[in-house]
Amino acid sequence: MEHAQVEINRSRKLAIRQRSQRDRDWSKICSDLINYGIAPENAILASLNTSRTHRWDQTTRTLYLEISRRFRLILPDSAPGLRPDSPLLPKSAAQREAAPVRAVASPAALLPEPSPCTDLTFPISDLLPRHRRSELTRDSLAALLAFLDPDPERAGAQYVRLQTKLTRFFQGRGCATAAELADETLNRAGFRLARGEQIRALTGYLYGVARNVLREFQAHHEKHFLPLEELSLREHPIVIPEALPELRGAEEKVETMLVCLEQCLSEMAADSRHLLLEYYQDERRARIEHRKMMAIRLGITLSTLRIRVWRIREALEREVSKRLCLSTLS
Amino acid sequence: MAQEKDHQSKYVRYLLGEMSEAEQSAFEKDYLTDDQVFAELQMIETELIDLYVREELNAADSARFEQHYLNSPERRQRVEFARALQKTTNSVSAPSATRAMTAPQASSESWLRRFLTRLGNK
Repeated sequence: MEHAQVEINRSRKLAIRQRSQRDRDWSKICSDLINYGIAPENAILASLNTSRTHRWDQTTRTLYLEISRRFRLILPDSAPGLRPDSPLLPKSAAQREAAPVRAVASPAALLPEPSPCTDLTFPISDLLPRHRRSELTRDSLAALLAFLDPDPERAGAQYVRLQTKLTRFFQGRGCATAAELADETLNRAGFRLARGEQIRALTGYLYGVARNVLREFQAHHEKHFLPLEELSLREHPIVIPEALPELRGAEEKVETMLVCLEQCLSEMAADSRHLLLEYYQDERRARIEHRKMMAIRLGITLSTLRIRVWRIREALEREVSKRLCLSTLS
Repeated sequence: MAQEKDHQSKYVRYLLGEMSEAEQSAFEKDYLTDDQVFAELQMIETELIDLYVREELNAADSARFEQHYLNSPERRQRVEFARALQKTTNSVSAPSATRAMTAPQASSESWLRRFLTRLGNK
Protein backbone atom coordinates (compact mmCIF):
# COMPACT_ATOMS: atom_id res chain seq x y z
CA MET A 1 0.00 0.00 0.00
CA GLU A 2 1.14 3.53 -0.66
CA HIS A 3 -0.06 6.84 0.63
CA ALA A 4 -0.88 9.44 -1.95
CA GLN A 5 -2.47 12.81 -2.21
CA VAL A 6 -4.66 13.79 -5.09
CA GLU A 7 -5.01 17.36 -6.21
CA ILE A 8 -6.82 19.12 -8.97
CA ASN A 9 -5.17 22.49 -9.28
CA ARG A 10 -6.22 25.85 -10.66
CA SER A 11 -5.34 24.90 -14.19
CA ARG A 12 -7.39 21.74 -13.75
CA LYS A 13 -4.37 19.53 -13.86
CA LEU A 14 -4.55 16.49 -11.71
CA ALA A 15 -1.52 15.92 -9.53
CA ILE A 16 -0.80 12.87 -7.49
CA ARG A 17 1.75 13.15 -4.76
CA GLN A 18 3.15 10.31 -2.80
CA ARG A 19 4.72 10.36 0.56
CA SER A 20 8.41 10.02 -0.01
CA GLN A 21 9.67 9.50 3.51
CA ARG A 22 8.03 7.76 6.39
CA ASP A 23 9.07 10.38 8.90
CA ARG A 24 7.93 13.37 6.82
CA ASP A 25 4.68 14.85 7.94
CA TRP A 26 1.86 15.04 5.49
CA SER A 27 1.37 18.74 5.61
CA LYS A 28 4.76 19.29 3.99
CA ILE A 29 3.50 17.93 0.74
CA CYS A 30 -0.16 18.64 1.00
CA SER A 31 -2.16 20.99 -1.00
CA ASP A 32 -5.86 20.53 -0.98
CA LEU A 33 -8.42 19.18 -3.25
CA ILE A 34 -11.14 21.65 -2.44
CA ASN A 35 -9.07 24.78 -2.97
CA TYR A 36 -7.80 24.01 -6.37
CA GLY A 37 -10.52 22.12 -8.06
CA ILE A 38 -13.65 20.26 -7.38
CA ALA A 39 -15.03 20.04 -3.89
CA PRO A 40 -14.51 16.61 -2.37
CA GLU A 41 -18.19 16.27 -1.65
CA ASN A 42 -18.71 16.55 -5.37
CA ALA A 43 -15.86 14.41 -6.57
CA ILE A 44 -15.73 10.90 -5.30
CA LEU A 45 -12.28 9.46 -5.24
CA ALA A 46 -12.00 5.76 -5.08
CA SER A 47 -9.13 3.46 -5.61
CA LEU A 48 -9.45 0.33 -7.64
CA ASN A 49 -7.08 -1.96 -5.82
CA THR A 50 -7.51 -1.03 -2.25
CA SER A 51 -9.43 -2.13 0.77
CA ARG A 52 -10.13 1.24 2.28
CA THR A 53 -9.93 4.97 1.92
CA HIS A 54 -7.50 6.42 4.34
CA ARG A 55 -8.53 9.74 5.79
CA TRP A 56 -10.15 13.09 5.01
CA ASP A 57 -8.48 15.94 6.88
CA GLN A 58 -10.99 18.69 7.48
CA THR A 59 -8.39 21.26 8.60
CA THR A 60 -6.17 21.02 5.58
CA ARG A 61 -9.02 19.80 3.37
CA THR A 62 -6.85 17.06 2.05
CA LEU A 63 -7.87 13.61 1.13
CA TYR A 64 -5.41 10.87 1.97
CA LEU A 65 -5.79 7.54 0.31
CA GLU A 66 -4.30 4.14 0.63
CA ILE A 67 -3.96 2.93 -2.86
CA SER A 68 -2.06 0.57 -5.03
CA ARG A 69 -1.23 1.49 -8.58
CA ARG A 70 -4.33 3.16 -9.94
CA PHE A 71 -7.18 5.22 -8.65
CA ARG A 72 -10.51 6.29 -9.96
CA LEU A 73 -12.05 9.73 -9.88
CA ILE A 74 -15.80 9.73 -10.09
CA LEU A 75 -17.55 12.99 -10.83
CA PRO A 76 -21.23 13.11 -9.93
CA ASP A 77 -23.43 14.44 -12.69
CA SER A 78 -24.67 17.55 -10.99
CA ALA A 79 -21.45 18.65 -9.34
CA PRO A 80 -21.31 22.43 -8.93
CA GLY A 81 -18.65 23.90 -11.13
CA LEU A 82 -19.54 21.75 -14.12
CA ARG A 83 -20.89 23.66 -17.06
CA PRO A 84 -24.41 22.76 -18.20
CA ASP A 85 -22.91 21.59 -21.49
CA SER A 86 -20.21 19.51 -19.83
CA PRO A 87 -19.84 16.15 -21.51
CA LEU A 88 -19.89 14.70 -18.03
CA LEU A 89 -23.52 15.60 -17.53
CA PRO A 90 -26.15 13.04 -18.53
CA LYS A 91 -27.82 13.76 -21.85
CA SER A 92 -31.42 13.58 -20.67
CA ALA A 93 -33.50 14.35 -17.61
CA ALA A 94 -34.10 10.64 -17.15
CA GLN A 95 -30.40 10.03 -17.06
CA ARG A 96 -30.00 12.92 -14.66
CA GLU A 97 -32.50 11.34 -12.25
CA ALA A 98 -30.67 8.07 -12.50
CA ALA A 99 -27.51 9.78 -11.38
CA PRO A 100 -28.20 11.38 -8.03
CA VAL A 101 -25.70 13.66 -6.37
CA ARG A 102 -23.65 11.89 -3.76
CA ALA A 103 -22.89 13.92 -0.72
CA VAL A 104 -19.80 12.53 0.90
CA ALA A 105 -19.89 13.37 4.57
CA SER A 106 -17.22 11.09 5.89
CA PRO A 107 -14.26 9.10 4.62
CA ALA A 108 -16.28 5.92 5.02
CA ALA A 109 -18.63 7.18 2.32
CA LEU A 110 -15.75 7.36 -0.10
CA LEU A 111 -15.57 3.61 -0.51
CA PRO A 112 -15.72 2.63 -4.15
CA GLU A 113 -19.07 1.54 -5.42
CA PRO A 114 -20.73 1.33 -8.81
CA SER A 115 -21.97 4.68 -9.96
CA PRO A 116 -23.71 5.92 -13.07
CA CYS A 117 -21.37 8.90 -13.02
CA THR A 118 -18.45 9.29 -15.29
CA ASP A 119 -15.30 7.91 -13.82
CA LEU A 120 -11.76 8.57 -14.87
CA THR A 121 -8.98 6.19 -14.14
CA PHE A 122 -5.48 7.44 -13.56
CA PRO A 123 -2.27 5.58 -13.05
CA ILE A 124 -0.39 6.29 -9.87
CA SER A 125 3.28 6.83 -10.26
CA ASP A 126 6.12 7.88 -8.03
CA LEU A 127 7.70 11.31 -8.06
CA LEU A 128 10.80 9.70 -9.46
CA PRO A 129 11.32 6.29 -11.03
CA ARG A 130 11.50 3.85 -8.14
CA HIS A 131 14.94 2.54 -9.05
CA ARG A 132 16.32 6.09 -9.04
CA ARG A 133 15.23 7.00 -5.54
CA SER A 134 17.79 6.98 -2.75
CA GLU A 135 16.71 5.98 0.72
CA LEU A 136 18.26 7.99 3.51
CA THR A 137 20.11 5.59 5.76
CA ARG A 138 21.69 6.25 9.11
CA ASP A 139 25.14 5.81 7.53
CA SER A 140 24.58 8.18 4.63
CA LEU A 141 23.12 10.87 6.88
CA ALA A 142 26.03 10.49 9.30
CA ALA A 143 28.51 10.68 6.42
CA LEU A 144 26.91 13.83 5.04
CA LEU A 145 26.75 15.54 8.44
CA ALA A 146 30.35 14.65 9.20
CA PHE A 147 31.37 16.08 5.86
CA LEU A 148 29.48 19.33 6.51
CA ASP A 149 31.01 20.03 9.91
CA PRO A 150 32.70 18.02 12.68
CA ASP A 151 30.41 19.74 15.18
CA PRO A 152 27.01 17.98 15.03
CA GLU A 153 25.04 21.13 15.83
CA ARG A 154 26.73 23.22 13.16
CA ALA A 155 26.44 20.31 10.72
CA GLY A 156 22.71 20.12 11.40
CA ALA A 157 22.31 23.85 10.77
CA GLN A 158 24.32 23.55 7.58
CA TYR A 159 22.15 20.62 6.46
CA VAL A 160 18.97 22.66 6.99
CA ARG A 161 20.50 25.62 5.10
CA LEU A 162 21.37 23.42 2.13
CA GLN A 163 17.95 21.82 2.18
CA THR A 164 16.31 25.28 2.16
CA LYS A 165 18.46 26.41 -0.76
CA LEU A 166 17.76 23.27 -2.75
CA THR A 167 14.04 23.58 -2.04
CA ARG A 168 14.17 27.12 -3.46
CA PHE A 169 16.02 25.76 -6.49
CA PHE A 170 13.29 23.20 -7.22
CA GLN A 171 10.52 25.72 -6.54
CA GLY A 172 12.17 28.11 -8.99
CA ARG A 173 12.06 25.32 -11.53
CA GLY A 174 8.32 24.89 -11.05
CA CYS A 175 8.33 21.68 -9.00
CA ALA A 176 5.38 21.42 -6.64
CA THR A 177 7.17 18.79 -4.58
CA ALA A 178 10.35 20.81 -4.14
CA ALA A 179 11.07 19.71 -0.56
CA GLU A 180 11.03 16.03 -1.50
CA LEU A 181 13.36 16.62 -4.44
CA ALA A 182 15.73 18.61 -2.22
CA ASP A 183 15.81 15.66 0.18
CA GLU A 184 16.50 13.31 -2.69
CA THR A 185 19.46 15.46 -3.76
CA LEU A 186 20.94 15.41 -0.27
CA ASN A 187 20.28 11.69 0.08
CA ARG A 188 22.29 11.00 -3.06
CA ALA A 189 25.21 13.08 -1.80
CA GLY A 190 25.09 11.26 1.56
CA PHE A 191 24.93 7.90 -0.17
CA ARG A 192 28.03 8.74 -2.20
CA LEU A 193 29.94 9.91 0.87
CA ALA A 194 28.91 6.80 2.82
CA ARG A 195 30.42 4.68 0.06
CA GLY A 196 33.70 6.46 0.70
CA GLU A 197 33.68 8.53 -2.48
CA GLN A 198 35.23 11.97 -2.45
CA ILE A 199 33.36 15.20 -3.04
CA ARG A 200 35.61 18.22 -3.38
CA ALA A 201 33.21 21.16 -3.64
CA LEU A 202 29.92 20.17 -2.07
CA THR A 203 27.70 22.98 -3.33
CA GLY A 204 28.91 22.56 -6.89
CA TYR A 205 28.36 18.83 -6.60
CA LEU A 206 24.90 19.32 -5.12
CA TYR A 207 23.96 21.66 -7.94
CA GLY A 208 24.92 18.97 -10.47
CA VAL A 209 22.93 16.32 -8.60
CA ALA A 210 19.96 18.68 -8.28
CA ARG A 211 19.98 19.24 -12.06
CA ASN A 212 19.94 15.46 -12.58
CA VAL A 213 17.11 14.98 -10.10
CA LEU A 214 15.19 17.76 -11.85
CA ARG A 215 15.65 16.15 -15.26
CA GLU A 216 14.51 12.78 -13.95
CA PHE A 217 11.53 14.33 -12.22
CA GLN A 218 10.47 16.24 -15.33
CA ALA A 219 10.84 13.23 -17.60
CA HIS A 220 9.00 10.93 -15.22
CA HIS A 221 6.32 13.49 -14.46
CA GLU A 222 5.57 14.09 -18.12
CA LYS A 223 5.43 10.39 -18.80
CA HIS A 224 3.28 9.30 -15.88
CA PHE A 225 1.10 12.18 -14.74
CA LEU A 226 -2.00 12.75 -16.80
CA PRO A 227 -3.15 16.34 -17.09
CA LEU A 228 -6.91 16.51 -17.47
CA GLU A 229 -6.42 18.60 -20.61
CA GLU A 230 -5.04 15.54 -22.34
CA LEU A 231 -8.12 13.46 -21.75
CA SER A 232 -10.70 12.94 -24.43
CA LEU A 233 -13.52 15.47 -24.57
CA ARG A 234 -16.02 12.97 -23.24
CA GLU A 235 -13.93 12.39 -20.15
CA HIS A 236 -13.01 16.00 -19.55
CA PRO A 237 -14.57 17.65 -16.48
CA ILE A 238 -15.09 21.22 -17.64
CA VAL A 239 -15.03 23.49 -14.64
CA ILE A 240 -16.27 27.04 -14.26
CA PRO A 241 -13.65 28.65 -12.00
CA GLU A 242 -16.13 31.20 -10.61
CA ALA A 243 -18.38 28.41 -9.39
CA LEU A 244 -15.69 26.66 -7.41
CA PRO A 245 -15.80 26.91 -3.65
CA GLU A 246 -12.09 27.61 -3.34
CA LEU A 247 -12.51 31.00 -1.70
CA ARG A 248 -14.45 29.41 1.14
CA GLY A 249 -11.51 27.11 1.87
CA ALA A 250 -8.95 29.88 1.54
CA GLU A 251 -10.76 32.11 4.03
CA GLU A 252 -10.92 29.32 6.54
CA LYS A 253 -7.19 28.66 6.15
CA VAL A 254 -6.29 32.31 6.68
CA GLU A 255 -8.51 32.38 9.75
CA THR A 256 -6.74 29.35 11.23
CA MET A 257 -3.37 30.88 10.49
CA LEU A 258 -4.47 34.20 11.97
CA VAL A 259 -5.33 32.60 15.30
CA CYS A 260 -1.99 30.79 15.37
CA LEU A 261 -0.10 33.93 14.36
CA GLU A 262 -1.70 36.01 17.09
CA GLN A 263 -0.82 33.36 19.64
CA CYS A 264 2.82 33.26 18.49
CA LEU A 265 3.01 37.05 18.50
CA SER A 266 1.72 37.19 22.05
CA GLU A 267 4.48 34.80 23.13
CA MET A 268 7.21 36.75 21.36
CA ALA A 269 9.59 39.15 23.13
CA ALA A 270 7.82 42.51 23.40
CA ASP A 271 10.53 44.56 21.63
CA SER A 272 10.63 42.15 18.67
CA ARG A 273 6.83 42.18 18.43
CA HIS A 274 6.65 45.99 18.47
CA LEU A 275 9.41 46.26 15.88
CA LEU A 276 7.68 43.82 13.56
CA LEU A 277 4.22 45.32 13.88
CA GLU A 278 5.50 48.84 13.45
CA TYR A 279 7.60 47.91 10.42
CA TYR A 280 4.57 46.58 8.57
CA GLN A 281 2.30 49.49 9.43
CA ASP A 282 0.87 51.97 6.94
CA GLU A 283 0.31 51.89 3.23
CA ARG A 284 2.63 52.46 0.30
CA ARG A 285 4.59 55.74 0.56
CA ALA A 286 3.67 56.30 4.20
CA ARG A 287 5.05 52.87 5.07
CA ILE A 288 8.37 53.64 3.41
CA GLU A 289 8.65 56.98 5.21
CA HIS A 290 7.67 55.36 8.47
CA ARG A 291 10.48 52.82 8.13
CA LYS A 292 13.01 55.56 7.57
CA MET A 293 11.85 57.19 10.78
CA MET A 294 12.13 53.91 12.61
CA ALA A 295 15.72 53.44 11.43
CA ILE A 296 16.64 56.97 12.56
CA ARG A 297 14.97 56.46 15.90
CA LEU A 298 16.81 53.17 16.47
CA GLY A 299 20.09 54.62 15.25
CA ILE A 300 20.58 51.98 12.58
CA THR A 301 20.56 52.02 8.79
CA LEU A 302 17.46 51.15 6.84
CA SER A 303 19.26 48.10 5.54
CA THR A 304 20.05 46.87 9.06
CA LEU A 305 16.44 47.44 10.08
CA ARG A 306 15.26 45.48 7.06
CA ILE A 307 17.49 42.51 7.95
CA ARG A 308 16.55 42.65 11.62
CA VAL A 309 12.82 42.62 10.90
CA TRP A 310 13.18 39.94 8.26
CA ARG A 311 14.90 37.65 10.77
CA ILE A 312 12.14 38.18 13.31
CA ARG A 313 9.54 37.51 10.65
CA GLU A 314 11.27 34.35 9.42
CA ALA A 315 11.42 32.96 12.96
CA LEU A 316 7.75 33.81 13.46
CA GLU A 317 6.76 32.21 10.16
CA ARG A 318 8.67 29.03 11.02
CA GLU A 319 6.98 28.84 14.40
CA VAL A 320 3.51 29.39 12.94
CA SER A 321 4.18 26.82 10.26
CA LYS A 322 5.41 24.30 12.84
CA ARG A 323 2.35 24.75 15.02
CA LEU A 324 -0.03 24.48 12.08
CA CYS A 325 1.67 21.22 11.07
CA LEU A 326 1.31 19.86 14.59
CA SER A 327 -2.34 20.84 14.82
CA THR A 328 -2.97 19.19 11.45
CA LEU A 329 -1.37 15.96 12.58
CA SER A 330 -3.09 15.82 15.95
CA MET B 1 23.90 52.79 -6.83
CA ALA B 2 22.84 51.90 -10.38
CA GLN B 3 24.98 48.79 -10.18
CA GLU B 4 23.24 47.80 -6.97
CA LYS B 5 19.77 48.24 -8.51
CA ASP B 6 20.80 46.19 -11.50
CA HIS B 7 22.05 43.51 -9.16
CA GLN B 8 18.77 43.54 -7.23
CA SER B 9 16.64 43.37 -10.36
CA LYS B 10 18.14 39.95 -10.93
CA TYR B 11 16.40 38.61 -7.84
CA VAL B 12 13.00 39.85 -8.94
CA ARG B 13 13.40 38.49 -12.44
CA TYR B 14 14.39 35.15 -10.98
CA LEU B 15 11.38 35.04 -8.67
CA LEU B 16 9.01 35.98 -11.49
CA GLY B 17 10.57 33.43 -13.84
CA GLU B 18 11.88 35.96 -16.34
CA MET B 19 15.46 34.81 -16.68
CA SER B 20 16.98 33.00 -19.61
CA GLU B 21 18.11 29.42 -18.91
CA ALA B 22 21.78 30.42 -18.83
CA GLU B 23 21.17 33.37 -16.53
CA GLN B 24 18.99 31.29 -14.22
CA SER B 25 21.59 28.52 -13.99
CA ALA B 26 24.32 31.03 -13.13
CA PHE B 27 22.10 32.67 -10.51
CA GLU B 28 21.17 29.32 -8.96
CA LYS B 29 24.84 28.43 -8.61
CA ASP B 30 25.41 31.85 -7.03
CA TYR B 31 22.87 31.46 -4.29
CA LEU B 32 23.71 27.83 -3.59
CA THR B 33 27.32 28.86 -3.01
CA ASP B 34 26.93 32.26 -1.40
CA ASP B 35 24.89 32.57 1.80
CA GLN B 36 24.62 36.35 1.42
CA VAL B 37 23.12 36.08 -2.03
CA PHE B 38 20.66 33.53 -0.68
CA ALA B 39 19.72 35.75 2.27
CA GLU B 40 19.10 38.65 -0.10
CA LEU B 41 16.98 36.41 -2.31
CA GLN B 42 14.87 35.40 0.69
CA MET B 43 14.38 39.02 1.74
CA ILE B 44 13.36 40.18 -1.72
CA GLU B 45 11.04 37.19 -1.99
CA THR B 46 9.34 38.22 1.25
CA GLU B 47 8.97 41.81 0.00
CA LEU B 48 7.52 40.60 -3.29
CA ILE B 49 4.98 38.45 -1.45
CA ASP B 50 4.01 41.46 0.67
CA LEU B 51 3.47 43.65 -2.39
CA TYR B 52 1.27 40.93 -3.89
CA VAL B 53 -0.77 40.47 -0.72
CA ARG B 54 -1.21 44.22 -0.32
CA GLU B 55 -2.35 44.40 -3.95
CA GLU B 56 0.44 46.83 -4.71
CA LEU B 57 1.63 44.97 -7.79
CA ASN B 58 0.12 45.94 -11.12
CA ALA B 59 -2.14 43.48 -12.91
CA ALA B 60 0.61 42.12 -15.15
CA ASP B 61 3.04 41.50 -12.27
CA SER B 62 0.28 40.02 -10.20
CA ALA B 63 -0.52 37.58 -13.02
CA ARG B 64 3.18 36.71 -13.43
CA PHE B 65 3.44 36.15 -9.70
CA GLU B 66 0.42 33.82 -9.71
CA GLN B 67 1.57 31.93 -12.77
CA HIS B 68 5.17 31.46 -11.81
CA TYR B 69 5.58 31.98 -8.12
CA LEU B 70 2.51 30.28 -6.69
CA ASN B 71 3.44 26.90 -8.04
CA SER B 72 3.97 25.02 -4.83
CA PRO B 73 2.04 24.44 -1.60
CA GLU B 74 4.95 25.83 0.44
CA ARG B 75 4.91 29.10 -1.49
CA ARG B 76 1.14 29.38 -1.24
CA GLN B 77 1.48 28.90 2.50
CA ARG B 78 4.00 31.76 2.62
CA VAL B 79 1.46 33.97 0.89
CA GLU B 80 -1.19 32.91 3.38
CA PHE B 81 1.17 33.80 6.22
CA ALA B 82 1.82 37.23 4.68
CA ARG B 83 -1.94 37.73 4.38
CA ALA B 84 -2.45 36.84 8.03
CA LEU B 85 0.42 39.12 9.07
CA GLN B 86 -1.05 41.97 7.07
CA LYS B 87 -4.44 41.51 8.75
CA THR B 88 -2.78 41.50 12.14
CA THR B 89 -0.66 44.59 11.52
CA ASN B 90 -3.66 46.43 10.11
CA SER B 91 -5.61 45.74 13.26
CA VAL B 92 -2.82 46.70 15.66
CA SER B 93 -1.65 50.21 16.29
CA ALA B 94 2.07 50.31 17.08
CA PRO B 95 3.70 53.20 18.94
CA SER B 96 4.03 56.17 16.64
CA ALA B 97 7.45 56.95 15.33
CA THR B 98 9.16 60.24 15.71
CA ARG B 99 9.01 62.08 12.42
CA ALA B 100 12.31 63.50 11.30
CA MET B 101 12.71 65.88 8.44
CA THR B 102 15.46 64.21 6.51
CA ALA B 103 16.03 63.90 2.79
CA PRO B 104 14.23 60.79 1.53
CA GLN B 105 16.45 57.90 0.56
CA ALA B 106 15.05 55.16 -1.65
CA SER B 107 14.28 52.03 0.32
CA SER B 108 14.54 48.55 -1.11
CA GLU B 109 10.78 48.23 -1.27
CA SER B 110 10.23 51.53 -3.08
CA TRP B 111 12.90 50.49 -5.51
CA LEU B 112 11.19 47.13 -5.99
CA ARG B 113 7.87 48.79 -6.76
CA ARG B 114 9.47 51.16 -9.30
CA PHE B 115 11.24 48.25 -10.95
CA LEU B 116 8.01 46.26 -11.22
CA THR B 117 6.20 49.29 -12.63
CA ARG B 118 8.88 49.55 -15.31
CA LEU B 119 8.52 45.85 -16.07
CA GLY B 120 4.77 46.27 -16.39
CA ASN B 121 5.15 49.17 -18.80
CA LYS B 122 7.36 47.20 -21.19
